[in-house]
Amino acid sequence: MNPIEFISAGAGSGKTYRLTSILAEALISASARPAGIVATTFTVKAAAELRQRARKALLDAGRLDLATAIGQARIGTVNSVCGELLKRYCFELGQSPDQTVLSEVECATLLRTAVDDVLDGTQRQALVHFGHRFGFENDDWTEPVHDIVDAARANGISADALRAMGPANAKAMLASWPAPEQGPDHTSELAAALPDVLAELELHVETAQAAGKEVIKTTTTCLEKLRQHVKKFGEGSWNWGTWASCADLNAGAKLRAMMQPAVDAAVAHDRHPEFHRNVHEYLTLVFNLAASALSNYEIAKRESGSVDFTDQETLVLKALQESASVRESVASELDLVLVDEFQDTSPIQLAVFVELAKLAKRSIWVGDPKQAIYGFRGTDAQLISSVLDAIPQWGGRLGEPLTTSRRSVPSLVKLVNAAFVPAFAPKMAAANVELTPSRPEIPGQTPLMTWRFDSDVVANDFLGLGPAITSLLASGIQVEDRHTRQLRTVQPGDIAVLCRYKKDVMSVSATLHKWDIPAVSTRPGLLSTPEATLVVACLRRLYDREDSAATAAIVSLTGGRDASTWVTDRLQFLAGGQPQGTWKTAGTDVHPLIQRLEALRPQLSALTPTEALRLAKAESHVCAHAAQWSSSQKEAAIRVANVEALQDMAKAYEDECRSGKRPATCAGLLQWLSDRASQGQDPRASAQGGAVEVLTHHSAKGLEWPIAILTGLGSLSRTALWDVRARTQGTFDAQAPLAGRFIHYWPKPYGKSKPQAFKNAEASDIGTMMAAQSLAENKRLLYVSVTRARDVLVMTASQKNSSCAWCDEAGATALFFGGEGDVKLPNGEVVARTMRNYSAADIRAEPPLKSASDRNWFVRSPANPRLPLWLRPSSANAGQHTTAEVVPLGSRIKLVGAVDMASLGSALHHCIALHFADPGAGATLAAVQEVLRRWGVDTVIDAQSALDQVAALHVWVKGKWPDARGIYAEVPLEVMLDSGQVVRGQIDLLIQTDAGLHVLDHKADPRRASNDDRLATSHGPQLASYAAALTSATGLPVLGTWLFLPVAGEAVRIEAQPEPAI
Amino acid sequence: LSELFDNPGVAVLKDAAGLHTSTLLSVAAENRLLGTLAHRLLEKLFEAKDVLTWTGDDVRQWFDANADALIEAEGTPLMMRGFGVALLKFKNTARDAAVALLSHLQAAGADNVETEVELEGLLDDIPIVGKIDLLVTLKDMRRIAVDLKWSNTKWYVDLFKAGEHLQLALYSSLIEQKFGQAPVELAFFIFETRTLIATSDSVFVSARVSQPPPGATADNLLAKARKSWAWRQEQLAAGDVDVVDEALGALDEFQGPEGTFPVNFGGKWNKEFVALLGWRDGQ
Repeated sequence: MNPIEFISAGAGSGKTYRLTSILAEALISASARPAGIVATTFTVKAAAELRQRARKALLDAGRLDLATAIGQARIGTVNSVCGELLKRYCFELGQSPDQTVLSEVECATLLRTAVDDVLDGTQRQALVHFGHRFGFENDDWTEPVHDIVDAARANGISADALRAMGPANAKAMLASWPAPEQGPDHTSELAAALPDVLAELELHVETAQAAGKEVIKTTTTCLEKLRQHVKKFGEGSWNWGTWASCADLNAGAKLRAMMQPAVDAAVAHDRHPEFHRNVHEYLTLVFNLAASALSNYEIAKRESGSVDFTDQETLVLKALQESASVRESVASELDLVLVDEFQDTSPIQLAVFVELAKLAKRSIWVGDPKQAIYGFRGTDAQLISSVLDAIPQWGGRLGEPLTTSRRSVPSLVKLVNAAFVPAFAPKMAAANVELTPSRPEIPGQTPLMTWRFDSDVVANDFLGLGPAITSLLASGIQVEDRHTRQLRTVQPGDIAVLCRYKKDVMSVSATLHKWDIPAVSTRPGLLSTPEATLVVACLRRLYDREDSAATAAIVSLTGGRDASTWVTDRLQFLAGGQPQGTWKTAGTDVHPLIQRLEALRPQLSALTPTEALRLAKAESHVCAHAAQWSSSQKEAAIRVANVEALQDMAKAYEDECRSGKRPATCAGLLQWLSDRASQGQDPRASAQGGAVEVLTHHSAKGLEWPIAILTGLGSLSRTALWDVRARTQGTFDAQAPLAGRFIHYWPKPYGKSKPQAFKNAEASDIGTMMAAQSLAENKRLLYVSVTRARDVLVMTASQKNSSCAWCDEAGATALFFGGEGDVKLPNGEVVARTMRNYSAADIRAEPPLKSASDRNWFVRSPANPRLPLWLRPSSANAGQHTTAEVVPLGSRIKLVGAVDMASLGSALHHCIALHFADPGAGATLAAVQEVLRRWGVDTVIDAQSALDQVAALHVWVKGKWPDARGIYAEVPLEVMLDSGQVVRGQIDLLIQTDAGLHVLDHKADPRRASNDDRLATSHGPQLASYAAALTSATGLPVLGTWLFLPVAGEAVRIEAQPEPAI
Repeated sequence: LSELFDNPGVAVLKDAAGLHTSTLLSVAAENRLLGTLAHRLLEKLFEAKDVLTWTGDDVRQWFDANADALIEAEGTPLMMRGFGVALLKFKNTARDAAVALLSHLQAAGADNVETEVELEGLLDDIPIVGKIDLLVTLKDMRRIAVDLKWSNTKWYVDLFKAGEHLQLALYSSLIEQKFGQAPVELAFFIFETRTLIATSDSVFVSARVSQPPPGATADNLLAKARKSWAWRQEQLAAGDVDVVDEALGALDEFQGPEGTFPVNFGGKWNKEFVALLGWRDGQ
């Protein structure tokens, strides 16, 4: 094994910075060649960020060569890096260098077909039969087969090995059940006992009712259940859940004896030979089907000449393990393997990294075992930790962990330390959990808030977030701006609400919407927005002229007339007795858009669905309508983004058709869109920026916000005992992490009932182990969530039920919610806390009344005058400006003969830029001479004078702003203004101090500023527009704007005059 | 009718203005497709001779021999690759439901079953037409109307319980006008759970009984329907078309005079037509 290092990086401890440093140092020290670097990240975005930051670090270190060469490094997600390695070694692997990589949707479709194809009639019938017996009726019965295939692929398990796992699982599961009891016919006994018991109970109830006695609810519920059970046993449609329910029959304490015969017969379910047979046969069938589907899936991909993500990893692994030439080549080429988010690697990825570590000259794995939360996606935290434990035995080392929190305020860091050091003990030492704060506290601010909601139903707690967040936003609480690092008042975009389940995200978004709080989440309903409706209506009208509802939608949306106007028009048309499809297409009443669509119909047969939709979009002029329907630029941008999202949906439809080998048609697209909308799978485009983000705890990983609001804290961990999971059986070999991998799957046999045998299974060794793993993962998820907050953490809980169950699991309920007022940590330190209770009435409160709402008809507002997209500061001409200060600077440069002022200006700009690009070295006389020569002005001015003026500028700048944090020459600037215009330009010299920015613009004007406002008038607007754009881009104030006149030998401060009062 | 009662704006667009979506796009959503197919299968089943004397096994045999052809002709989406289990599940559900329904009918003493029976009649002086899924005649010539549904057992149990089963009440009236005698029982049959929901167990002894509240008789429901009809017609005659929508006010602002059916906000089915009547803020 070559040198290998693992660096543990706690939440917010500057992991990306560390990764960047490792990468840059390796390149600068020449211990790694650019092309010899492989760096994997969890997301594409993280890869781009790592490359960009490393490039910047190399530039800062003056290594322009390496900054350019870093493009040769393989930096990307595990899949993309494996894809590149596959291309590199395609000949050794016998693969095409040009692979078609299937998307996730395409894989799912192909796999679904593969599973379906392996089912013959008998197996299908058996699968449905067993699915019914185990009460899977409302679920997809093939889901376990899919999950097993996925797990087999992610763990490199062969079809043959898979077949043996069905019986093995059955044996392990049934070990918790009593042995089957042969002999008595248990089913007949129960089927016979039930009607007798029912008859007795019915008689009892009738007698009681006849006597005017009240029958308790327990009895009537039991009676209804009994009727259902008798019916099911009568028609043979019972399942094992029915048995368990019969064993629990309870008609009230007084009627216990009456129920006993049925209960006695039903308790035999756990030793019923048929139950044991069902489990055994079902698991054998499911694993056999998965094995066959696995083979079929491989064949289907081979036939279509494509690979999926897992194939890329599997092929690379195979090459690394089996091909001597690949191993040799990798060993000579790879200098450094850098793995980010190591804790999230799948077993097969882990095996790839272990193989790479054997060959690469150096491997560094960075991750945080405390943030391993993707067990449900096939990551095995146990596997990762076993590999990490093995590193020292390989001669590797556990590097210095990153323990300084750069994210959160000290109080929150201490609070998290106090909560999670004990929660992760004894498995993790305190040193591996604790972080040291580095940021200052926000003065006078409370970093922890608890909100308790006292609603009637726990699900209604989300309603309480409306008033709670409204009041939080109104409280004027301070947060640190992410870009400027300055304190400012909270805005909606600073807040994230984390939810436990996707459905909760919907509820929270709906609540925030109701309270007029802008929110970002994947909200369905794209197809019901007016912009999507208009485009789809145009496509429908294009497709079928008889679609009168689509025609009406076009008329209504483009005309801005209310329904009564066009309905009257329609009625008159119908009264005329003309053919339906001709409405608005002829005569004086023609609608231009409908007429255009009519004319375009013949083209439709030559277009793909996406092209047809694009045509419908273009003809509808939807973007112009969307802009005119909107009251702000932001709203218009969202509407246009919705139209783009609609086009993306069309593309997704075509992709699905392509992978399913189905024809893609217009009618198919329209039908597919409508199906997606009815299933709520038509997400709208999100409002970007300035909105509260609503997302699940899982998807918050890797992100941070000034304020994080945690909801769903009542959710207990759920054991994965009844799901598909992989684990290692037998002795673990860290050098071969996929050896001994086994797929666990036990069917949950009784629905919601939990008879003794079920409890025994959960208490078995496997059950206990899997429950412990789920519990540990749930704790890690809580850790991830509480560490998202930079400035303020809000914990929410319900007054009802055990709503802090999740915190209870981590032993942190007392810490977060206990007592009153501030939190006293075990080490005696105090964390300020505010507690707020929302009563049922508070939660039910309606948001402040909006102005009277009425349905509207999108009357188009008059089009705004079109402003040019690009705004060049040099052509700005607004505002009044004056000369505030004139400073002599150096000596006037003497001009000899006629001069092209533009060339002179450019040459001087370059000389100054040259000097400030590397202020340590400065510009040399030779360099200045060369610049002047290139611009053809070397005969006009003396190079030494020019150099002297540049030096004089430098001395003056240093003297004027001794605390300058940075002096930047020729800073490119591109900023979008509220008007939608983009300011683009280049700032000649930018000086950054702690208090703000100063802008200098160079002018080759030979005339002195003297005391008139000539220069201020002509250049003031340009400087003002730079200042405004800079503040908008950075949030920093611009404290001064200057003109530097090198020829005239002056610096001139320009000030904007306040607008005169009217 | 419920469209007119609940949202006259939509009813006007559909009926008076004759707006409809393209028939080329009418491939039904999954549940509706399954429901329609199951309907068609039962229709075929009850065309068989002596079907009312069949045993469960006879029904199963008939089903296995006939279902595939019908599914092939009318249920193409279920024949697609990748839908094998869904198809099998459908067949199993429909087969078991047919067996269960026949056993309910036999136990009730059914003598004749007609499917998709179109009856015409009057509600006061308004001509109405109804298509009854199953019109069952018992041996003693009494009749029963059964409406077939694919799923949503609880919803139909609650419909009876709330006394809002207008559709069945109208069938009752049409049967009475045609045969001179109202049906003795009204029922829903739900395929997915094989449940027959009836208002009492007097005819279907093993039905799931969901008793309407006292007073929610077919006659009273029809009286309410007449009042609702009159109220809406009066509005239309005056040139008023009510648009019922959450954006425009609370539900109680849309209610009609005493004795009319309560007005409800429409479900998702009419979204497209509601949109034609204008857009809400924030859409």
